[in-house]
Order: sequence, then structure tokens, then C-alpha cells
Amino acid sequence: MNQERLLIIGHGMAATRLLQQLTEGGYGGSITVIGDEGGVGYNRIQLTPWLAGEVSEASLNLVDDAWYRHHRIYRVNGDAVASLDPDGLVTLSTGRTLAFDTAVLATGALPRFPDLPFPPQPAIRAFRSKADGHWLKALPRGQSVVVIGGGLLGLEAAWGLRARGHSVSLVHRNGHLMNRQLSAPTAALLAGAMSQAGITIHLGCELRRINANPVIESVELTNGEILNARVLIAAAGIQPNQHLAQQAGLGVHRGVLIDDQMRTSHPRVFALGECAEFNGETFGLVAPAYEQADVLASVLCGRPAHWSPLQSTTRLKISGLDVVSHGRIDHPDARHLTLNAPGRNQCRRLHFLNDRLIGAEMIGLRSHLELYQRLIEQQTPINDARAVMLGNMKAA
Amino acid sequence: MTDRRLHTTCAYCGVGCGVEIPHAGDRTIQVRGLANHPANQGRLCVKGTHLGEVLPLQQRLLRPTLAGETVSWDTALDFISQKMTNARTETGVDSLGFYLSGQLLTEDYYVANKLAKGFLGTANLDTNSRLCMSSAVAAYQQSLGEDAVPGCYDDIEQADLVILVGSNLAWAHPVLFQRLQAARKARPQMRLVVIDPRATDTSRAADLHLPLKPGTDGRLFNGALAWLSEQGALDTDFIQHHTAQFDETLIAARQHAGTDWAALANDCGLTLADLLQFFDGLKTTPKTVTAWSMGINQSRSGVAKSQAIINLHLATGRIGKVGATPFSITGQPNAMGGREVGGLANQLASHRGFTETDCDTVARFWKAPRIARKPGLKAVDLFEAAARGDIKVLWIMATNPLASLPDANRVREALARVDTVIVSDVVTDNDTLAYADLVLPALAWGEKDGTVTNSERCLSRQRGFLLPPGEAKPDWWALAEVGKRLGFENAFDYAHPAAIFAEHAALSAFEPAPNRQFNLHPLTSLTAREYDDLAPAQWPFDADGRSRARLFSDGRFATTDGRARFIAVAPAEPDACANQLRLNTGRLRDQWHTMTRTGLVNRLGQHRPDFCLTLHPADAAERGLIEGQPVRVRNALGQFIALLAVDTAQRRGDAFAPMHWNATFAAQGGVAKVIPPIVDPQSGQPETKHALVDVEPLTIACSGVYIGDQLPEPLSQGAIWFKRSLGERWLWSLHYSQHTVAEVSERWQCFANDIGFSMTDTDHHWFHQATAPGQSPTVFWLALSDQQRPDPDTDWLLEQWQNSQVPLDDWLAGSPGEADPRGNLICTCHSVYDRDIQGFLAQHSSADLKAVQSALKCSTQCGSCLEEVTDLVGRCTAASPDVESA
Repeated sequence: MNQERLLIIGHGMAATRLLQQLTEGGYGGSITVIGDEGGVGYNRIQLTPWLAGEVSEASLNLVDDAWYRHHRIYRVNGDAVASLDPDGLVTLSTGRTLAFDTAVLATGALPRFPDLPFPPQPAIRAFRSKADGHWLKALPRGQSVVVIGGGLLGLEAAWGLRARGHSVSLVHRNGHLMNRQLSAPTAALLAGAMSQAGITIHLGCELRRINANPVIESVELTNGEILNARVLIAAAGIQPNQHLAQQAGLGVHRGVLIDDQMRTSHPRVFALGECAEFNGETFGLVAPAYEQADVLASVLCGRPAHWSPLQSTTRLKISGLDVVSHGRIDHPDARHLTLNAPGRNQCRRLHFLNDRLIGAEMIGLRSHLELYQRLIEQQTPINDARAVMLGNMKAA
Repeated sequence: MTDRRLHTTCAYCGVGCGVEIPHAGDRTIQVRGLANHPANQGRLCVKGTHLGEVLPLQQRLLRPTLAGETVSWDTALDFISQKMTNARTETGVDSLGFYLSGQLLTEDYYVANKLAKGFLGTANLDTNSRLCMSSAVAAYQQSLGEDAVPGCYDDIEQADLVILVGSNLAWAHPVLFQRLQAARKARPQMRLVVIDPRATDTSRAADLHLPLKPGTDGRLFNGALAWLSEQGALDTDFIQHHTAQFDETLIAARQHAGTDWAALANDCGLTLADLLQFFDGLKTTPKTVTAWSMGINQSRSGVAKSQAIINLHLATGRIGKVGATPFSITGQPNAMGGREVGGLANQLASHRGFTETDCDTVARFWKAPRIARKPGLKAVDLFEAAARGDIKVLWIMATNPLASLPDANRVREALARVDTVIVSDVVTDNDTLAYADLVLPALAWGEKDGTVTNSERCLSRQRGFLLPPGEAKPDWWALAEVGKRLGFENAFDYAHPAAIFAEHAALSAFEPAPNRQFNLHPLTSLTAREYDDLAPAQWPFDADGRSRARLFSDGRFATTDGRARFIAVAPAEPDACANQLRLNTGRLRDQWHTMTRTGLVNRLGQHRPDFCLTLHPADAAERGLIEGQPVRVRNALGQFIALLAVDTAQRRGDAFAPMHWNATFAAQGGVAKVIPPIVDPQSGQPETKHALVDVEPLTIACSGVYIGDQLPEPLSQGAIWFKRSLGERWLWSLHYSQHTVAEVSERWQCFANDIGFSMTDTDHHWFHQATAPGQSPTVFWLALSDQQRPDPDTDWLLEQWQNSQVPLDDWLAGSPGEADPRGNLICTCHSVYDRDIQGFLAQHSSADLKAVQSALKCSTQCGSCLEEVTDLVGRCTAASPDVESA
């Protein structure tokens, strides 16, 4: 029997989802997955609650060892892939080679560190893995921590570290937090809530210097301010990990270029998740990665399907503060309806263009999200924007 | 036996219903109709039902103020007597004026009248009853010899034909209307004819509605007389033995109406068939009652029109008999009592005029040194004299002339011109109070103690069951104190209203003229206790003290020769109208006069929440007017602003606006500002139903609703607002023609930045801001829109006012998210909305009125909404087959 050999390089959330979909879809070939962390696929999104002590480490796992055994999925753990021959062979850093008929790149992304000189050390790190989590959990309480990046990752890291009793400063280059998902007034409310929680926020500035001798002591900001820092967390964005693809001669730009079936420039090699680039866009959120995994699983199971990116919902959930953003929130010509309850740390802002809803952002209020998602996806003409804002389904 | 001290009389219309109070001393009570009162036999209308809700001391005047500063009663009374003394010395006694009200009790009226006419010596004392029934009074005096209503309510039930002319009885006198409807139900052969240019709840209940051309009712009644004469249907025997001046009257009627009946129908805007059906009913129905109200009286020829009606009854002998009478229905609770004491400037006292004999008699009785010997100035003339500067001191009691007299702008000049304006009232805010130099806190309903007389001559006690609040005092007390300070200690030494009443009764029985009907002789020696315990009593009284329900049953009238007089009349008709609209004014079902009481009750504001000008849809379309839009109603005299309503109930060319909304309740309210000061030459009653006006649309840039305690300046600036009570809070409907949502919301946000919740719109189509429910004592709710006026469910908002868990979206939207709007309130007593009724009928396709009533309870308490419910049930059931087949 000529069984197809499928090799998945990377074992993050996108890969785990792909594995689940393949097994559910009745994929007939043999599957090998290579991961550099070892263990089972886990939920990276839950790292912050885990760090904050709200959930256990075990609950991060998306599947368990028995599941891999049951589905005869071979795991190659702890080995990095040294090179890829798209015609069917990978070489691991140990020198071992693996042949494949089809390969999937799910190599994810790498954290972006400040472009400043500093001696590498554990206290200057990202917060993207269980390993990061273990290191941070082992840190004695009351440390001065500086988090770089006021996006989703940075806010989550800052919140988790604050919850562990550290003195946290958050440095963000843009003038407002989560500037890709929130407009300035909404972000101001979020900043207020973060400040109330004891996190010091520095907006509109970057790091100018890292003072380390050799152990990090402080950082200096572009505004001249100096912040004590025993730990520095880099959470200012990610870069798609396309190194392997580039080396293999696959088409790459910022990420690995894929078509709407996740196929790279080589017919035997696919890519998905944070490492992939589609129509000039890369994707840092889990929702599109999952959608890609779903489509790719169909394709590999012989059921042709196509993926198109949906407007994705960004969600920040840090103990009690629910931040949701969906669609476009930065169109300069958009009409905004804003519901504001500053005393309650609640607000909602809808963005309308040409009588269509194009974006929604909310803090502390999750009601009507499904309505807004539907109106945005379906581009429903809207007569009464105020009624939509106040959740009247019939108005849409 | 129940405690009669808890029996009182309603504060509103002239029906004079008995009201039972559950217990004394409580301002949060639910009243009931008094079962054994002859006027209502337990019934109450919606306004009466909610009397308990006007008792809280909201907006209540509690202390005398002079030039805005609180003063003691002593200071206030000294001030009045000083000003009156000065005016008498410097400009003569006729520079004093009193303007009273049909809301006063007989005792208050009596003391005012005695002070002015008997002791100051001026008859410049008139009353707002001038605006209500003075035309009927003059007609009765001339035709019957005395201001004496011949019939009684029982006649309306006993008649075989009831003609209502110029009366929306269903709304203005609901209990009497219910009695009529109950009688019709018991005797289906009874016929009801309603003569009214407008279709109303009353006309919809009629067997025949004659929507005549406004102002042609006199012609119609003259025509009826001529037609009956032609048909040989007159009571020649009665005419011969009991009347005079018939021939010239018939000639005048024939000349005026003509004998071409088709032409007459055309002149009146009726079909010939309808006209003849009406005439034929008159011919064949001896037991006919013709009841009229303001549609007849408030006219330049109100006296002549009333006489045309009386002529018809005299000519057919239909007077003084069971179920047969001409019957004017008075508007106010004590219009009749005021007439009895002489509250009109052209009456002296006790149905006496200004003949030398009458003056001497009354002077003797009062021991009055300088009794007035000529009639004084009637209301419109009194204020015209004031505007000319001829009145120096004017004491206004229990009325709001700036809202009710015609040509309000001229009245404003008058009030500004008078040196000393004294206003006795119970509220802190009305149009007239703004012009008062001295403000006196009077007693309100439930506090004051005295008597009133209703439309069928029945005296009832209005009893005080509450302690007077603050320093509020009875009006009679204030008047008597001034009398004493002017040196008439003996004449005004009253300890109790019983003493005043006894004196009034004694005057009525003093040296009686042979034919005069008004005589309260059995009541002249009431003790204070008997007075307290007085049961309703109808005059006239027989020698043995027994009441008589009807007058003139023996064919003897109150004239010196005992004969009634036919009066030859050709009632003048209102000015023709080319391109303008003719503005009719009147009452709404759930409001009373200038809303100082009913305007405080949430429930009463819901039936017709807006101040609307109603036009025929075609007239609105012709002028490019849209329903709900603010419109300016103007003529050379002035203007007011209302919201536009359209209704085919209006004739083409006619407009209707309720009389109620004045400066307290509407930024530019006040129908009186466009009503010309045209009066009936005999009665002096103004013509308030035929103002010619232009109506123009207002462009509105922003509309809104604000709920709170006061309208803040950032919102009131430039606003056309209408205000209505939600009980503990107020709702302002806001309309801005010069300011956009952006401008108003920016002003507002500077004032109330970051309070509570807001919803902003970068396109500025909408703006919302509200405090969080259940938070602070200063709660507000605001919505602005450039599209349509926000329409919050106010009942729901009030329910949520203390609910801190209410969803934010619903709170700002002003309604519970998924629920359907409730629609319009129909039944005020049981809070039933039109949607409730429609919903019930949709589920129960075979349901009839009775089923709706028993399921929803609507129209089962006060019955004021019965016509509306019947109409709605009829329309829904007529429409339902289509719904089912669709």
C-alpha cells in the first residue's frame, strides 16, 4: 500500500488544530510532527491566566499523549529542522533525515527584540511559551519588570506579571494601546483600567538604551525617563519564522507565501499560521490560523476547499476586563457611534462607512458582538445606526 | 352610615360629582366616586379618579411673597389695604379690579363680591366664568327672566331625543355622558344627535352627527323653528298661554334661515337628508333635551344662539317637563355658585341686578355704605381698561388669565401696566404669577371648605380633609382680613365658612322678588355642624323646604308677568375665511384648563401627551406639513407653536388646538395669543373658537427628550419645548430650529461632561446621555436626534429608575430591548394601551367588546375611554378577516 507521508514542521496551535482536523477528517496517510518544545500541543492564549495563577498548567494542553498514540501520530520532539528539500526530505539538526510526500510549515513566529545592544540573558525574554512561563513563575515577587509593547501580547504579559505581584511598567511606541485594534478613545479607557490595576504605562516612546552590567538594571526611554528593570519582556510584535522556507528556495516575502489552499510555491509544501503570508497579509491571531488549518485538512483529505480571510475578532481577556475588536477601526472616513460609561470602565464604538458596519470595538461590554460580526461580514445595509448600536436586531 | 366629612365634590367640571375620601389627613390617597351623590351615583371620570394624585405638595405655593420676597400675611394684607386705599383716593374706586374664578367656592366668591360691590363700591369684579357660560346666563335672563337652568341631569336620561350642540360631552363632562349612554343602552329607542363641526368621541357615539360649518348653529336652530312652524308642529297652546313675542321671533327666524331647506343645508355645510332627519326627529319627539356648552357660548353671538335654542323649546313647549328642556352644561365646578352670589360684573348678588330696588335691598341687607350702583367691567373690558392704565390694583384669584383670556399679548400688557397685581393661587408657577407683585398662598382642593353648585343647581359641599400646608389660607379669609383693615370690621367678621354661607342664603331669601327662583330659604339658619353635615341640595326649594328638580313646570316663568320671552335673533356668524384656517379650541379628555393640577399627574399626560394642532390631512398636505412636526400658528395678534397632528375628524379648513398648554407647559404655548378679543355684545363672552390663523412649518435641526427635575440652561437655550409630568420627574420634549445636535450636545457636554453614560455620533445624528439608574438623587435622561424625536417608553424608564442592573443599551435606548413598543395609552385607569387591545383581538378573533373589557379591564372603571375602545374593537374586528386570509 502506498501510504502518503505527511510531515508537519512546527507544533504550535496551528499545527495541533491541523492534526485534530486531519484525524477527524479521516486522513489516510501517516503523520509525523516535529516540534522544538516537546510535549503536547497547548493553548498559548492561556499562558497569561496560567502565569496569573488562574488556571493550572495541565489545563493548557489541547490534547494528551494518548491522543497521539491513538491516532498514530509520530512526534519528533526537541529537534530543530536544519534544512528542507522541498522535493521530499528534511534534515534535522541531529543529522537525521526524514522523507515526506507532503510537508506543512507551521513554524510560527519569533518575538521581536529591541534593536539595541544588550548581553543576552534569561531576564530579557519573550512571553510566548511554557518555558517563558516557568521562568517567570520562578521569579521572586516584587521585581521591577518592563514590558515592551502595548498590543495584545504586551498587555496580557503585563497583566499576568502584575497579578504575580511585580512592579510592572509597560512601554508602547504608539500614542495609544492596542492601536491596531482600538481607536484612541477606547484605548484610553483601557489604559485607565490598566493604570487602576497598578501598571505604569508609557505611551509614545521606545527604549533608547538597555543598561546591563552584564545583568540588566534599568532601561532608558526615548523621552529620557529611566525605568528600573530586573526583567525585560519583549512583546512588541512578532516576525514570521520563514527562515527554513527561504533556505529551501520557497517563495517568501515577510512570511511564506501561500495560496488559498495554503500551498507554497512548491506543490508538495504547504504553510499556515503565523509563518504564512497571504495576499500581502500575515496573521498573528489564532482564529485565522484555525481557519487555515480547517481548509488545509480538507485539501489534504482530498476535499478541495479554499480559504479567504475573514475579519477577525481580537479579544483581550484579562481578569474582568473584556476587550473586543472586530473589523476595521481605522478608516479615516468612518462615522463613529460611541457608547461611553467611564465610571463603569465600559465603552463600545462602532465604525460605519457608507451605511455599512465595518468595525466594532468594545471594552467591558460584550453584548451584541454576534450581531456586529454578522453585520460586518454580510455588509448589511443599515438604516438606523443608533438602533444597531443599542442592540436592536430588527433595525439591521 | 358613612362619615359625611369624608364626602366632597370633584374639583373639575360643572357636572359636580360627589367624591369619597378614604380617610382624612393623607396626601397619598385613592379617591372613589360617591355612591349616593345625585350627580354621579358612584361614577368618576378619569380626571376625578386621579384626584388623589394632585394632593402632594409638588410645586405648591406656601408663603406670601411681595416682589419675590417672602413676607408675613400681616405685611401682605396691610399692603393690599394700603394700595386699595391709595387707589380709591387718587384714581377712584373704579380703578380697583377683581378677577375671580369658577374654581372658587361660593363662600370665597361671596366675600369677594361683598367687599368689592358692597363696601369698596365697585362692580369691577368679574370671573373666568365670563369665558364659560355668560352667554347662556344672559340668554336665560332675557328669555326666562332669570339665570335659571330649567332642567336637570335626570332629563337627559328621560329624554327620547338628546341633542348635543357645541359640546364634546364624552371628554368635557364624561360622567354625564356615561349617564346618557347608560340610558340609551336601557332604552335603545333613545336618539342622540350631535352637532359639532368636528368628529369627536361624542359624535362617534351618536345616531346622527351633523358636522356643520363652524358658526352656523344659530341659523340651523332658527331653521328648525321655521320648519317646525311650516309643519304645524309647534305647541300653539303653550306659546299662547306662557310666552310673549312669538310672532316677531318666527318672522326673524324665517328671514334668517330662509325656507329653502336645501339652501339652508348648504349654508350650514350639511346634506339635506341629514338636515331633514334632524328636523323630523324634533318634530316627532316631544321629550327632547338640547344640551349645549362652549361651542355655543364662546361666540360673538353666544347669547343669540342660546336664545335660538331656547326659542325652539318654548315654541314646542319642551321646557319644565320630564325629559324636555334646554340645558346649558357649565364648564367649571362652581360657575353656577359664582353666578348665585353675583360673581359677574353685571350681577349684584343673589340673582339680583343693578336696579335701584335691587341695589337698595342688598345695601340694606349688608348695611353697606356705598354699594356699587352700576355694572362693572366684564373680563375682556376689565383687562382692556387695565392695559389703558385705568386699573391700579387688580386682585386675581384661582385663575390664569394670561393663559385663558383672548389676545394674551394684550393681557400681558395689561398685567404689566397695573400698579399692583395681587395673585392668590396654589402653584408656584403659572403664566400670570410672573406678573404678580404680591402672591398669596391659597388653599387647594382637599384643604378648602365650602360649597359649590353644579350645572343642575345642586349645592354640594367641598370639604377640607387635609391640613393647610405652610401658610396657605382660605381666600375668604384673606378677603375678609382686607375688609377689616379697610374699616369694615363688622361686615367681615367671619369665623367659619358656615357663617358666610348662612349669610349668603339669608340674602337670597331677603325681601324676595315674586318670580325669582333663586332662594335658599331652608338653608338660612344652618348651624356650623349642620353645614358640615350638609347633603347635596338642589334649588329651588318649595315652601316646605323640599327641593324641586325642574323649574317652570307650571308654565310660569321668572319674568314679572310670568311669561317667557321669545327673542327674535339672527345670530352673527364668524368672519369668513379665505386662505387662513379657522382655529377651534377646546378641552382634552384627561386635562383640565391650564394644567396646574392635571399637568402634575403622569397618567393624565399619557392619553394625549403632546400639545398638538390638528388639521385635516389635505390641509396639512397643501401646506407641506408633516405629522409630528412643530408648526407655528400665527395671525396679526400673536403666535404659538404646537406639534402637527392630522385627522379626518377635522373639516377642511378647520384646525383644532387644546386650550391647556400655556407657558408653564410649552415654551411657546398658549392658544390665547391668537384669539381675537371679539366678544358677544350682550354677555361679553369672548369668541374663542373662530380665530383665523396661518400655519407654517418649522424646520427642525434637532429634536430631543429630556427627563429630569429641571430643564438645564444648555438645553433650554433656543429650544421649543413641551413639558409633561412623569409623576416625580418631568419630561421635556425638545425641538431646535437653529441649533443642531452637534451644537446642543456640545453645550450639554460642557455642562454635564462625563456624568453617567453617553452615546455620541460623529455624524451628529444622535446624542444620548443619562445618569446611571439607582445612583444619585439627581437623575437625568437625555436623547437628541436630527432625525425623529426619540420616543422612550417612559413607564419602563420610571420602573427602572432605581434598578442599577438595567442593561446599559436598554437604558440609553429608553425601552426594553426586545419588547415591542406599548403603543398609545387608551385606558388611563387600568393602563391599557392600544397594542394590548390589538394583541388580544389578534389572539381571540371572535372576541367582542365585552370580552376585551373582561380580559383587559379597559373602560370598566371611569368609562372615559369606552368610545375609543369600542371604536378600536370595531376597527380591529372589521379588519381581521383580511388578516386571516392574508
